[in-house]
Amino acid sequence: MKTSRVLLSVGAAMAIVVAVPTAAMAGIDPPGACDGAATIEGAVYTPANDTTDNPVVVPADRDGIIIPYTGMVIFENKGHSGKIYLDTPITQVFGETTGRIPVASWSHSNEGDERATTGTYSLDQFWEDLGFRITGLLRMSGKHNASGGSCSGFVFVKFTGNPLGTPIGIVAVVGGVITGAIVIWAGVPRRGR
Amino acid sequence: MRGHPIAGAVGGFFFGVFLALILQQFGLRSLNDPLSFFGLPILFLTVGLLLAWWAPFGRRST
Repeated sequence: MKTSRVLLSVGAAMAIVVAVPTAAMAGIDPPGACDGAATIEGAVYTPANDTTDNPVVVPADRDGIIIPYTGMVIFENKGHSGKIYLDTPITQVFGETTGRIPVASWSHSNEGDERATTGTYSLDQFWEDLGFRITGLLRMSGKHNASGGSCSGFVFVKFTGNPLGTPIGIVAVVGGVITGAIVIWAGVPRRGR
Repeated sequence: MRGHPIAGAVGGFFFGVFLALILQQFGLRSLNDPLSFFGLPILFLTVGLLLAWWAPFGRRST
């Protein structure tokens, strides 16, 4: 009876954590200073995809995906540079400059002051550079600096696929099972007690 | 405490970490969410300690 109550309490706590929505945040800073869009399998994504319940959906289990994109800024854009990266738990603990997964970077003198660009991004190249595939919900951040100003933003990205087909997913599940068993064992009385 | 408090605390903390990672991997929550990344380990560290204090498993009725 007591055992079932404990398990029920743990299950309820887990259900609450899953059900509570994560906080929504603005995607571009300063607002309107830059903009962009990417098309993945027919769906167009913008900086508005900045919440966990409205993420950019990226198939992680398929090859040959090419992502067309556009980007623009409203300020003078000479001598520009920028980066896009995925935040990891290490970033979460140690700050923005630590433990990020690079997605793209650029820099150009841009003497002609072009303020808009188009191009394509190869997802296969990203997987090749990373060395393994990832699934799940991650925050992707970016920053662009130029002579006339700077702009930063983020979106949430959901890499779809089977987590048990990725090294991180396997470690998570195996670790969860082992540590879960340790927690249960902690509730077994010591001998002589 | 009748159970194993150190195992409960350490096991509970890391169970919370792995659970946050599992939720992230299955796309249910982001690790950027403080409630998930910091809240779950603290929650399950507490659960582990409570279980060690209560020790409800494997007891024989007298």
